[in-house]
Amino acid sequence: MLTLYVAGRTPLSGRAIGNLGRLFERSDVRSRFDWEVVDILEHPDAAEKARILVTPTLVKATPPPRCLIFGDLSETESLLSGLGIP
Amino acid sequence: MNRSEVARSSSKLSSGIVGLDSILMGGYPARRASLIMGETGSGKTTLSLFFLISGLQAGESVVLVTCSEPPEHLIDYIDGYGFPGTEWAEDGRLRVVDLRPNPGDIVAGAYELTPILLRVEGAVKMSGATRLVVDMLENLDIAFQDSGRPRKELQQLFDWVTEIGLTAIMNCGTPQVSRNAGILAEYLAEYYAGCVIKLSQRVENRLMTRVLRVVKLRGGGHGTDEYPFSMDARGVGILPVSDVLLNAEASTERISTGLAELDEMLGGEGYYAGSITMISGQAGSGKSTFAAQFCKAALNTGRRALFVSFEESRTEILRNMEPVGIDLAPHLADGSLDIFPIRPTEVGLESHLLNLARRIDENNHEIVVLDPVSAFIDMGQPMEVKMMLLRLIDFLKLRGATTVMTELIKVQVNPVDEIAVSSLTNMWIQLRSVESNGEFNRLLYILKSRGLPGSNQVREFRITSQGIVIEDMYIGTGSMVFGAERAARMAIEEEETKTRDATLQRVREALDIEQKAFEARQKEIDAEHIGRMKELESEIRAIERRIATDQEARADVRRSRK
Repeated sequence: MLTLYVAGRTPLSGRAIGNLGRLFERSDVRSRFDWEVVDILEHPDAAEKARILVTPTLVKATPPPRCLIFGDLSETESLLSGLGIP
Repeated sequence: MNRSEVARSSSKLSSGIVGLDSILMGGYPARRASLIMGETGSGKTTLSLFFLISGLQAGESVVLVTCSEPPEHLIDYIDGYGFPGTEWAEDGRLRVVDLRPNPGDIVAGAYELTPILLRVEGAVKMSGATRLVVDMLENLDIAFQDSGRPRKELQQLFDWVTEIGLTAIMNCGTPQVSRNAGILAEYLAEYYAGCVIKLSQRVENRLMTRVLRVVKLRGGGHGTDEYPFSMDARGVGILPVSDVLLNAEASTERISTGLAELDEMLGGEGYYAGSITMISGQAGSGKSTFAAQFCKAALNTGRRALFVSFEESRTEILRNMEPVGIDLAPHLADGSLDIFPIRPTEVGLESHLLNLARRIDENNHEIVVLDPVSAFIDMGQPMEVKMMLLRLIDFLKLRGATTVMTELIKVQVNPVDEIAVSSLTNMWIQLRSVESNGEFNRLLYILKSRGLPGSNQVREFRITSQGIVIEDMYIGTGSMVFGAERAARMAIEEEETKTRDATLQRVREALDIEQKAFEARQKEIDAEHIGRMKELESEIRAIERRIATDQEARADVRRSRK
């Protein structure tokens, strides 16, 4: 499960959502993950609970290990290595 | 107490550490950020926890932002210091915001620190916090730009903290700890911090000394020295040399030294209550016995005493004093005497200070014996040792504890005390062992007695099974003499005195004789004179008679010629 935490509708949030959407065009990604978006302005408790430090943050909760990927996900290589996708 | 009440009440907020409040002239500046910087393990977190504890105890709410230690550890620390940390956390007055980064986190593009601002603001607003601590923000690599500046969100955070009037402490490492720490510390010190405190530590003789220095404090004075401090399971101890002492009340009450003769030498009644006396002497000169005798006398009058021994155990002290007639055991048994044996090397100088201060505070000892303070000589730089003892003396004076400390003098040349603290004491008594004619004799001098007449005599004393006996003064001809030689010299003196008496008698008699002889001679002369006078008178008469006879004869001739 992938959760993308954003803070409101900022350009960064938009870019992150766009980049993640493009990633899920890949079938190998789609077959392994689901994803959701949480706006911490609307759900401050969620940010506290997940110990979010920056936005956007993509959290990979499962499969372990838990991993946090910071930023607008424009750096595809970093994103793929964080998700463990070759 | 809410934020505006705190704001109105004072310009300073207690640090939760008495000694530090005194250095900061009341505490951290209220409604401002303070920066505490120092190496890893220098005590930053502990210092800031006590700031929070102080607020929590006063009924305030606080927020602790951690970037380094897990929240549960920090709460455990507070519990460990004896405060209800867990309870405070449960009832929401102590909120911990966990900003610890994960080592495996990956950066994959541009980001903002909005969540940090939201979370800290959220915690402060929900709890109504007045105090904020941010611990080790430099650990958040994501909060620093590649150029080496804090990201703008950190500036926003600090601006917001200042704006809403939080009293905050930011803990930060030194540039040696990390590049970010250096950047953050410099930035905070330059733009935000109303107070900058630097902590450092050094290891000497395998013991650690911690030092605190106030680098900057806006809006008022502060102590500028390096203040040693100590930390242990019960918290932080700082005993600054304080000017409060100048106002300390000088007592006119007197406490016996335990020896009538010594009391007399000090003007009749002994030490002033609350005064500090140094007894210096060589090994075996009787320092501890003097201290114990004083202790015993004070205990007998119902006072509470602390006997700190840096060299001997409790049983050794009892055993050593019993044969000289000083029985301390009953006082130990009834709790009026506290014998505290501690090795100087056991803990650092500051910990000694803290331990003693606590012990005296908790037990209200009126009498304190420190035997011997010279045991600290090897514990650090002479200046550090002296400063520690100075602060201990300050503390004792402030507490009004009548104190006798002893000091071992190794080489007996001049009355010089090696730690040079005697100048800080009110009284300085020196004991000397002097060898003459194959025996040791003990002597006592009063080198200083501030505020008391103080005898400048040198007195001999003996340590007997009934305690110390100070001998009657002996002022002989020439130099001082003692012991068997003293007795011999006294006999000689006696002999000499007798001889002189005899001579006097002789001279007096001679004078008498002279007078009589003179008178005799006078009589002789008188007699001679009278005799001579009579002779001359009879001669005159004889001549006169002859003249008369001659005239008669001439007249007879004239008559016959007619």
